[in-house]
Amino acid sequence: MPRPARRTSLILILALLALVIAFAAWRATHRASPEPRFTLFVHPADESHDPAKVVAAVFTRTSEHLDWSALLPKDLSGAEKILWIEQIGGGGSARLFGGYSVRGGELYFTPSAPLLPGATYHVAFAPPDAEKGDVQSPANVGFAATSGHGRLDLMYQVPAATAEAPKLQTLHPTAEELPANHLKFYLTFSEPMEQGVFLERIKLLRADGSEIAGPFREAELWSPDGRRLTVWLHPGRQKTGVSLNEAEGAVLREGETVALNVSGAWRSVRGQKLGVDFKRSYRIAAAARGQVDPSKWSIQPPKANTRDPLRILFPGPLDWALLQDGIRITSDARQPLDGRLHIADGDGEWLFTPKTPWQSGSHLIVINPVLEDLAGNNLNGPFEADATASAAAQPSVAELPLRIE
Amino acid sequence: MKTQTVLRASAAIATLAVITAGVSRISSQQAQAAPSPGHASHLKNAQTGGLKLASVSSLSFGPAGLLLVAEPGSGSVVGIETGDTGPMKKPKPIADIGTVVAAGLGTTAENITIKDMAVNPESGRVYLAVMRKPDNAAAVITIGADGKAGALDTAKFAWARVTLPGGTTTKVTNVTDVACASDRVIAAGSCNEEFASKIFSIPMPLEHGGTASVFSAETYHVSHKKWETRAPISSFVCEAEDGKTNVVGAFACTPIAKFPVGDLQSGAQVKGVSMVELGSGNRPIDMFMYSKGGKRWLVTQTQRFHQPLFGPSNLWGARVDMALLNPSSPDKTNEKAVHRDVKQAKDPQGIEVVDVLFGAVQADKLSDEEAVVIRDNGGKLAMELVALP
Repeated sequence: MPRPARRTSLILILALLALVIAFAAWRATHRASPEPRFTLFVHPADESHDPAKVVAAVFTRTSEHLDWSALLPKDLSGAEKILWIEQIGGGGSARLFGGYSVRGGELYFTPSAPLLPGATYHVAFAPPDAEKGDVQSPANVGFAATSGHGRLDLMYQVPAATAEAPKLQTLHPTAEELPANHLKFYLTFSEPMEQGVFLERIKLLRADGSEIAGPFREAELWSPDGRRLTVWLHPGRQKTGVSLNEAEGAVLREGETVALNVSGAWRSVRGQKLGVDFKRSYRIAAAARGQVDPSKWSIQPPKANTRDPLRILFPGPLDWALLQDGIRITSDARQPLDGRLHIADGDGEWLFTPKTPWQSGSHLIVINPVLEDLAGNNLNGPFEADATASAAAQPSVAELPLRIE
Repeated sequence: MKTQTVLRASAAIATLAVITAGVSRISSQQAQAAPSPGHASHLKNAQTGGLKLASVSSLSFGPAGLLLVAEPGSGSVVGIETGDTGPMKKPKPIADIGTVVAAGLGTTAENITIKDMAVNPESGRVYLAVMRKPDNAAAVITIGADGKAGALDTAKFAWARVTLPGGTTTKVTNVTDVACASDRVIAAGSCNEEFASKIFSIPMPLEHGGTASVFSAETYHVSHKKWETRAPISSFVCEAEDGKTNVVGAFACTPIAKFPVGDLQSGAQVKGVSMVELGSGNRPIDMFMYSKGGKRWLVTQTQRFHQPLFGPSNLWGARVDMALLNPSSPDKTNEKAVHRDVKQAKDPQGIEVVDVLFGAVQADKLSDEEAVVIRDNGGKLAMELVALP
């Protein structure tokens, strides 16, 4: 063979060898790892991106091919042994309750209750036979991820709640005087409050500061938004002749002064305390036993073609919550008028400002028969009515004429 | 690599967002205890996954593992098909159930309230309605024969929610109790601002978004000898008599009364018949029925807020011979209702103090022989099995 040809062959062989070596090297670097590489991450559970509502999830780079059934049975029983969240601190750690699911090749753990503001959690993924990882990594404030071949650990801290204190916005009745058979208080807060504690947080005190024992009905009655609490004085003690009333006496006594005290220790759902006690005193008047009678109301009609308020003055305060929806103004043809409502003078005055100027002519004041005074007496009868037919009260008139001129 | 991770994470995040925004698409094969194939559903227009409970006040079981949850925040009853249909196994007692439940919810025992307990009659598994303080998070916790506690994974089961119709002016927000009769679900509830006794009847199957019939209950209150429409029912059970449903309920001033709701139309007033007066100063917590020694018994667990106490705790229970609730003679109803003789622990009329219920904050039947109780042992809550007399 001529020398140039031999050299060319050698170069070709070397080039081929180089190609084989390069391919082998490429294969070596791109071949799938003998163990799958996992990523553990903490992520918002929903679109609210609330850092207290999270899921822990695990996927692998080859998750579309990963068969979790190699690690877990179909019903995912035993998943709590390989993926969990535990709370750190508070004298120990305990794994949180939650649910498991596999979606899109990823294993999820969803805690059954939101995490707590300011608390730190250890999130762990421990595939079988994996060695213990390094859990000493600093806590991540915010969502985080970590990757590796074996056991994975993450620390996750929920940001602390804002320090702003909740407020008791209103307490009704606003009247200075209550009948001795008064029934309900309404407390409205600036934000949703802790439930299950109202009997410890609200006290009724006598003038000497002593606490009245067992004054409230135990039913805890919050508005759906968790901001307004209805507190009933125990009806069994407020009604005459009921065994509780006979055994323990009425909660309130005519002529005394009592104070409703709301403790500053009461927390909002964010865990922030009211901070200061709130106290309002009431003079206790005679019990109110008559039914509500709108014919005794004083109506002050506005002038036509104005947006002046219609004023209705009651002989005494009515129930603030029931007043919100208890009186409607309609046209003569019973079309309800749109407008703004204002309750004033210790819940003894009702003002209605129409959206459009008053039309002259006949109108109607339509009253819901269940509208009550402070003692639970309504248009249908007094609170202490005996439901037997012979004793039934005649309902009061529930409609009043209103003439606008 | 880092970029790849971020990209992969972003993809996962996007996936998650889609998943969590919509209805969860967990396949039935991954469900822990999906109803068995061929099993007739007790729900109509059932939803799958995505159930979040706003609050919990009371639990009860219907047929085939149907869990009924009273949700006072929304004034609703939620039915959940847990698929927990047995086999029957006794739950394992837990010495400090408060701490176990609290830890699983990331808090301490003083920051949880066990609102109610129901034992699944088909599996013996214990279900607890739990609220956490201060954030009012609601959870249903279950305890099985192995003594392990865990949260019911509400995302996995078929469910339906029925919101109870409101009162004259306001929404129903307080749902005090719920129970399943043969052909319907019964709930007791009230509006915050109105003092009224309302019984709600929801037809089975429970239809998601459906509504309930509402009855105003009128009862003769033995303690002050008046007919009442306004006292709410605290606790009740359903029983059938001649194929017709009766609600047997207890009030805060403790008459036990029977309300026949079988044939009533919505809006009707149902006249309760007062049968038994346990004595004043007691607030009913729970009721259940069992049969033993050829008799049917109604157990009422009660909190006493009067002196004298009837034993070592203000929490006490009595069993009432059900024959007293189905009297052949009308002479034993209303103003002539049977009064418990409070001086006798075993009143020969058929009303007896049940010693094993002293100190129980929750009680439910496991079988005709045993009950599960949660007892307050000096501040620690213990879940125990007790023999019924």
